[in-house]
Amino acid sequence: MTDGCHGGSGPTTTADSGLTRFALVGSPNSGKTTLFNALTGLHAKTGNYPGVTVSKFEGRTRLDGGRSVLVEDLPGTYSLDPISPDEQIVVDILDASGDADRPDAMLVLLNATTLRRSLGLLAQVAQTGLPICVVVTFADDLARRNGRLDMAAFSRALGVPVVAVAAGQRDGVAELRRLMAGHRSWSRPVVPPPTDAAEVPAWADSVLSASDYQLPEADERTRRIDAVLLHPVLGTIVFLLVMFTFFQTIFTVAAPLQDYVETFFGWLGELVAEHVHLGWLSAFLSEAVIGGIGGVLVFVPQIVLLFVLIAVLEGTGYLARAAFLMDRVMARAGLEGRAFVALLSSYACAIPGIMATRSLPSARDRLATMMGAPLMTCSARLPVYILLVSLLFAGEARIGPFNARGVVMFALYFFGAVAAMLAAAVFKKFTSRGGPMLPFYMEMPPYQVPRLKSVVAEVWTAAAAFLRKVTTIILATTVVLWVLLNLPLRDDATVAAAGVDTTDNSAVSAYVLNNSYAASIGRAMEPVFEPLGFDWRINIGVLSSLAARETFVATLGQVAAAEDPEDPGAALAAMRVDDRPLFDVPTITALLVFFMFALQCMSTVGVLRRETGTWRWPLIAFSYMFVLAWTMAFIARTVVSAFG
Amino acid sequence: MIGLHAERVADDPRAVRWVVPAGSLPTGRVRSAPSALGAMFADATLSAGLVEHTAVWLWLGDGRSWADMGPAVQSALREALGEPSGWVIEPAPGEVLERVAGDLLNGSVGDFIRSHGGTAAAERVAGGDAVTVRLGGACSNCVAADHTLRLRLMDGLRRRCPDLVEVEAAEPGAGGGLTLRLGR
Repeated sequence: MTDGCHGGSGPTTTADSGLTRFALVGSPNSGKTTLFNALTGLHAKTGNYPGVTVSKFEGRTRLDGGRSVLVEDLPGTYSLDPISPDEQIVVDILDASGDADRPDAMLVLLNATTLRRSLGLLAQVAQTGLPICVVVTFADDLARRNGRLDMAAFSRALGVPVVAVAAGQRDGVAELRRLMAGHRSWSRPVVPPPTDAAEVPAWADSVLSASDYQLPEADERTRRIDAVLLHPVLGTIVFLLVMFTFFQTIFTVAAPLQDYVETFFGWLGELVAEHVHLGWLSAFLSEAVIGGIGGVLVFVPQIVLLFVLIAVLEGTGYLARAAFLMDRVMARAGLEGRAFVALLSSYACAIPGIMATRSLPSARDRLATMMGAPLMTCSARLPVYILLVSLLFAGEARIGPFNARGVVMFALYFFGAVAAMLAAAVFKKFTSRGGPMLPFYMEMPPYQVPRLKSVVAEVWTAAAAFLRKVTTIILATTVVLWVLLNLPLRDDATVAAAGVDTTDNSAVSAYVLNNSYAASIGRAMEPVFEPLGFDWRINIGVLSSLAARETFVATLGQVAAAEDPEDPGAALAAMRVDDRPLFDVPTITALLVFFMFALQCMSTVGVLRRETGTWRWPLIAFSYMFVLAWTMAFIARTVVSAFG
Repeated sequence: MIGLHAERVADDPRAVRWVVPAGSLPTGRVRSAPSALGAMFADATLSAGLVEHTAVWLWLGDGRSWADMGPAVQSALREALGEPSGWVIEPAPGEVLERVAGDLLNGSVGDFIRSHGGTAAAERVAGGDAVTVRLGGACSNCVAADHTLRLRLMDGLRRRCPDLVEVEAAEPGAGGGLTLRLGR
């Protein structure tokens, strides 16, 4: 999904100035990468996961007459209204007038089986004024499925040259090379296509009607499978089964793997304690460095599994059907079915969820989904919920016939999803004011066996990106937190002067902690969180959870100086503030509700920044969720106190 | 939203053939048009207009270019198509037929004829509603020319001129050809 999609043969990325430069422009799944390979001979991945080409790739090709030209494969984009940096790249390159990197001509790829939507991109690209040649891809697929397109009439209607290519056939590519050689004399539209978003679909319909376009029929095998999977009753049952298996796999299969990772880091920590004798260094290495990395790597099995499942569901073509089935539910939030995929991914982590919004062609839908996605109950909330719920109910407590902890957990998951949908609906409404609705398109790819290579490549890219981007943030935060919790350094004289027994290690730790910079920060936060019943210790936990929510558990563990920082429950239950237990029912409720709504995750903020290309949206998301979290937590605490 | 798009007219840079929904307007020569499009005729931005079944031909006035005027004309035309009663269109079957036949001979039908080494040209019968299509080149002596042209050209013509009623052979000795007549 990010770099590396084109394999390891090392495409040239040096700017060969002076050579004629052609840019390949097209939406994801338009066959761009395949054509790029056919033209340049480089090996590249031809997967069908949205956003397969993100980095910039160039290659040389030789035209008739022996002249070499450069071909640049631009990132796949559905429109030139950029919202992600990938799409921004396309806009920047096409806009850069006078720049050496600006292409001399464009090859715009249109998928013959989804022409109506693809024409929207062409209409925008035509506004750049660069010479255009349209390459109709999947023309063989169109013909096989009894679709129809009069290429000559299509060329006339568009006013630009048109050539059809099919994967694995040389004729089309040879014809394209001939056309490329004469790019200076390509015809241009006498009147450019409309720019108004409302006029474009009407223009596209007119062009397609003049080109005698006949939509392809569904693949026969696909049609038969769809008769079951898209059936209102059977399809819904299959869908629920698939979703159930999905969650079971993520939460149960990942658990033993997570245990291995935890055990490994526990062992590593012991190793450090054994061999590093410098006290503060040993503590720093085992608590901050290993604890920090370990706390993140525990979630790698889940991330990997999630991406395996999504890649398989996507590769088989089922995900599009799930999105279709969910379309009606999502429509209540003003969103389309594909937003469901993003929200589903957010159950594991909001980051892949936000990245999955790339498959949404509408910028407004993407924003609305991104604003809602962090409210889904991500896996990082799980340790926090488990800790707090276990403080709230004993293991054998029951609500009706059901386990009380289970019911509360289900409620947290359910209301997280409801909140995410509502938030998305509000943002959709808010951002759509005065703007026209974009037409809704959904592709139903034919069913196929997912290719192992694609699945592995996607999972690897996702896991590597997760490790690279998140470990830096979490590691840094944990280190900073450790320093704040242990500084300023106190010599024995100071500690003794405060009336603490310097031979009692835990008493010294408690003194250092109580007078640490972190404690000062936690106390400084008290005016904000005091109405929710939080004291400075919880505040530090809340603050540290900004790095990653699960840090909350580890931090409280450190703060409570419990034996096992990963299970500080007993020590926590004994904590007191003023004359009440710190973790009384109203406070726990307030904490649960706070964590349900608050955007306590800087990685998510970072990804929002990356995906929207501006600080504006992450700031809006963080602010609205903080206000929402605080308000809801306050209401929850007040209500619970009243009934207490 | 009325769907339309512009097509270039070969050898006539001042003309654009706007493809519009079939039957939007009665066919013929445009005498006047409603709203902004009417104003464009009035201030000589547009010099002439001709309506066929599936398209409106518009010609720019002197000193104008489609590169500049295209988007404005497109909006004005879309708006004007929304009020068909505001148009005054004078029937001109011969002129319409000549344009359509010429267009087909410049386009797909012409491509076919040229690929066989032939040439073809449409010409209106002086003062009448009929058009003569003359074949030349390799088609001149081809016994199948008449039949082939009939099939190819008629298919296109029937689609674009549904009120075409009659096709008759041109007088013998004219080098092969067809006489087409538009009627109601």
